[in-house]
Amino acid sequence: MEEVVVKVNNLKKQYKDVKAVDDVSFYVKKKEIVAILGPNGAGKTTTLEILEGLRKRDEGEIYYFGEKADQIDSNIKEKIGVQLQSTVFFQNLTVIETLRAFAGLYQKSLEVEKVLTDFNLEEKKRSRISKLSGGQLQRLALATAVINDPEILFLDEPTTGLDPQARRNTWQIISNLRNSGKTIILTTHYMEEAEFLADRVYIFDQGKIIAEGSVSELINSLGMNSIISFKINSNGNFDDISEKLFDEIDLKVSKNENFYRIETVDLENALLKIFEEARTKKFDISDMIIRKPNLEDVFLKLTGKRLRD
Amino acid sequence: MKKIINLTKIFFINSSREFAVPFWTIIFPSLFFLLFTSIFENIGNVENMDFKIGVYYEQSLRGIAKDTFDEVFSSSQFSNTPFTMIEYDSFEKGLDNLKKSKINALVVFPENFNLLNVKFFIKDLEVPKLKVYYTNENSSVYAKNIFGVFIDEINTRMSTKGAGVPLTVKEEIIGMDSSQPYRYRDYLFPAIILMSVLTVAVFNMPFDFSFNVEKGIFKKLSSSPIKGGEFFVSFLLSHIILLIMSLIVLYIEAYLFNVSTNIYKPSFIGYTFFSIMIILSVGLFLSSLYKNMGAAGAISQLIYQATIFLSGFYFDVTNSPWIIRWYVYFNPVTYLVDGMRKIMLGSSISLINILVPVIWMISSILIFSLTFKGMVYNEK
Repeated sequence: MEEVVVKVNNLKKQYKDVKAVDDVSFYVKKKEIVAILGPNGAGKTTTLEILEGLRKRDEGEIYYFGEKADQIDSNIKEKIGVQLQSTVFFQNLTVIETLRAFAGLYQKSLEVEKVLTDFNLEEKKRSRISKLSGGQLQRLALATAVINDPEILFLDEPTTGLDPQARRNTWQIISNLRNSGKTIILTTHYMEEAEFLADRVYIFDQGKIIAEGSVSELINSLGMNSIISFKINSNGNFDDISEKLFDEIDLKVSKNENFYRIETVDLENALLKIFEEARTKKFDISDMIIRKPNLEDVFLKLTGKRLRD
Repeated sequence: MKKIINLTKIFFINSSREFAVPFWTIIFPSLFFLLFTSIFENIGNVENMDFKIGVYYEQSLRGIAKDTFDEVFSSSQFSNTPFTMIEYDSFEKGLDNLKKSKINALVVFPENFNLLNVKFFIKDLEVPKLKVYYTNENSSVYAKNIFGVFIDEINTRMSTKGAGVPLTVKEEIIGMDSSQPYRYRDYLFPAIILMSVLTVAVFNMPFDFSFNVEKGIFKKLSSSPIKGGEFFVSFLLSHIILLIMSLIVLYIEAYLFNVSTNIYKPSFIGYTFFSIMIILSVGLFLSSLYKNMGAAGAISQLIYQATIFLSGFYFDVTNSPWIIRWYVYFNPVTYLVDGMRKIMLGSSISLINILVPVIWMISSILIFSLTFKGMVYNEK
């Protein structure tokens, strides 16, 4: 059985009237990437910061490497690496000075020059922090998180605010870190990120875990193979474009204005029925997209809202 | 210890590369000292002064002596000199007013001074000397010297009436043991030191704190094994290093400007470091008040200006209107600048120069300690 390196039981944290983390329990096994997926305000960051020792929990137990951690003390902090959701480093230090500075805060650290190379910051090592681009800053944030060669890495929304190219590069770096044996716990509200990186996913909403499992397990739990979405135009043949439009055919339909979304396990049959209905009732179909279900659909099914709502 | 050194280095390098920090902490106080000394030291020149000389007669003047003195003081030669004579009916009152700088010098005509009238006839007669009391203040020294010119004139006129009765004066300096006159540069030097410290405490520290909290830098550092105490000491040390650099520059300037040698006394240096600790602890307290950079900017500016002008940095504020006088007595810098000046004058400091600042320091550190963690984690 694989070793559990982090275990959380019944974690609670409340800010005034808001339950930020509401009785959350989960575990992380060695060398796996666990994604905590959820919309803004779901309690992802608070959970992570409690694990990092940056916030106090109200209730609950935390175990690191099988041992109960009443306090996240310096012994634990030596073994973890943290990348916060948004960190602006000391603006007047250079990249290499920043890495050396963080290396100096730990008992053991990686060789700074090697980390610069691994994170593609070699060319920028003499540049002031204030001169770095968003992607470079994000790579530096990751580099400072691994400078102490941690066993567990906490990455809080590691790609938020990055352009698609920089996001892909960051995913590659995180994959490489996993391959080098790190255990990674990351939060994200990008389902693609969780799908690309995570071995297992915990879906958070309003401070609670509403689903957990591997990406495929979660998607399979939807019981559908395909999702068809399209727009219809009535051409004046009927006034009310309603949900009843497809009542006569056996499909699971939801609509938003004149956009329709149909979930099905039998794509071919569903398409035939849709086009037949369109021909009979004389409406046009446009902007049709057929896709596989994803974590967004899981979240939508569980909460009735989108991840980025 | 390694972590403290490392973190202090980070804080210090980051601050010192920000142009505003070394400028306002080191360069500006030096320039300010240079400028103010150049401008205001000249205000102490005789042509800019309105001298007030107190006179006390232990015995009323009579005869030739009285006539000669009256003649000299009303002569056209001195009519353009801004010189006012104020007569006192008691020596103690005159001396008290001299100590309070209400007059620039006190001339005492001793008992039996009227023997001067007889000296015209009996050459060997011993006439009591005129006594001139003055202080180390520039204006007082000038008043005493100008009075010496009066005496020369009196001697000249008396010699025309009967030769060989030169009048002599006994001078006595009041309130200080140094023979060096107390000049504006001496008055200003403690204020400039404290101005530099205030810049660090009221601007640099709270701004650094707010910025680092707001941007999550402290939070990031807190995710490392660094302890709260190490963190706090490093932050404070980085600012103290900057202040020491500022002090070195100011002392070099003071040496070049020939500021009173009392600034090299251990008591002055010790009290300066005491003042630094007090004001920096108040800076920590201010840091705990601010929730963001915007608030830090507005409140710091207000506190800095009020403290600079209402602590007696550049002029006496003890006679300010009651509506603002509460701030004069409330703020610890008033007592610190007063204490530093007392040491410069060779006097000993009072209990209040220690007590009030220490109360501020204890309260400030207490408040800061209670809010420190919340601030670092941006939970305040």
